[in-house]
Amino acid sequence: MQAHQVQQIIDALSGTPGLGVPLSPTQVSDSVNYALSVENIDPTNSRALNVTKADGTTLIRADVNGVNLGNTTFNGTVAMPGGSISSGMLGPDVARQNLLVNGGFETWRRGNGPFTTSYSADRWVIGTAGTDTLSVAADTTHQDAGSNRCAACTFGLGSGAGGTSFYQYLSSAEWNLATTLSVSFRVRTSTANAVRIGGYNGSAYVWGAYHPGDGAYHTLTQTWTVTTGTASYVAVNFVASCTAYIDNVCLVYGSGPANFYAAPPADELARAQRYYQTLGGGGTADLYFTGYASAGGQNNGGTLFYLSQKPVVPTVTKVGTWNVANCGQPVVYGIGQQSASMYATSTAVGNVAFYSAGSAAGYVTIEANP
Amino acid sequence: MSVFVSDFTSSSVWEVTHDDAPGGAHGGTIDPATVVHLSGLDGTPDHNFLVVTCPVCGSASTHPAGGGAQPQSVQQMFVNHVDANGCPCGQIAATDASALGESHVRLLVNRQDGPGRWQLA
Repeated sequence: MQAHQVQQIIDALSGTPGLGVPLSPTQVSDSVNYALSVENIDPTNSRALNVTKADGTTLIRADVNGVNLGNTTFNGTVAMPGGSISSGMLGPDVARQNLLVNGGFETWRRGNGPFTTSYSADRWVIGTAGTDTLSVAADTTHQDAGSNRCAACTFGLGSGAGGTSFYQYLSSAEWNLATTLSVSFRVRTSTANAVRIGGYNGSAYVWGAYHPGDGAYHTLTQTWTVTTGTASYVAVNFVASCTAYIDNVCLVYGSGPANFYAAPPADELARAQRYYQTLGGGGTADLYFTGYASAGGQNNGGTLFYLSQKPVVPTVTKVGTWNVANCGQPVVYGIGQQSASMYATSTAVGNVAFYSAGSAAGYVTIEANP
Repeated sequence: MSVFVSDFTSSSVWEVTHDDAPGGAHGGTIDPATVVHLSGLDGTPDHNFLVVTCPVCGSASTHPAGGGAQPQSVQQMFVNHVDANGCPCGQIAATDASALGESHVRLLVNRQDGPGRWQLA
């Protein structure tokens, strides 16, 4: 430090009128010295720096206990006042609970597609407008780094005028989302200004910026507040013909978007099964019902317990032709949110049985979309 | 999703889609008269459920009045069905005004899934 700079400090500390000027910037280019170094060689406290506010309270203090900024202390760990970190201050790599089902597009229990209407990858829905076409299929070639699958979306613009979306709906039957939400999508496309993402605020979509169309994955984010009602959508919006790959979507509360981190597979599957599940189909007779009839025309059956309670009374589908002995094809009866039952009518006296026929047919699907 | 009516083409033909069929989606047309109420163990029809059978593979979806897998399509199916056939509970006759049948279906929906479930305009 040079003499005139020391004089500046003295003038500043003593309050000399007209001389409270800042120190001149200094370039220190060696690997040891700093532009300003203050050292207290006291081995116990090392009280090196104390700057106070006008009221005498701490503005900056540096000593053996760390650096104290009045209400925040850095001493190896960070101690901040409770409630001082809002969600908007969190970095995107701070893992948070994803409000979506199957945000990673790893689960395709309706099959791998291609799908051109309605539900595709579990809760993800195709919503086309006008004469637009949108085909969605599971893809194991173009997925994001660290992912196993993505959704390959092939969009053809017709008369939809930007109204076609690929979305997930969070129903007011289950959610109260009158709050601020943030979503992040990983999107890849080679067509500029064709794909954007956003969320529904109760009366309109709030869209983010378009993907630049450079053929690489980009993280597209958007934040919005649900101001009308309590439901919301998150969506990919298609406005120009293109092929786009969608992966790793994360919806969180608050104004700070978060990167996608996969939930434990068991948790993810359980959440998906709340809306769509199969029973049977894993092998012949993995669903088996039997009884005895003293004559023809008698009903025998049993109960199907769901793997997860459904949000509303579901549609239950008996898929394909089941194996039967001494009875007709089984029918579904008595559907509730936790279970349903099936029965078959005997054709004659004797044992009655009906059972699933394997993976190609002979199972049950249970689906409820609130 | 299920076996569901994807287009209420006319009073004599409905288009049906089975979108999660084994091997991929398929569909065809059916006579609306083949859509019947679920039968109880004693054979009594239950007005809370309708069964749609796939014309391709014979799979049968039992849809609740609330809509189950696809509320809008299923609720419309119930309205069209009660309008054409009346309701087996005896409250609605086939000759009653359409609005009466629709209000009956709406009552079934509200009882089953709650008042927020109705999705028809």
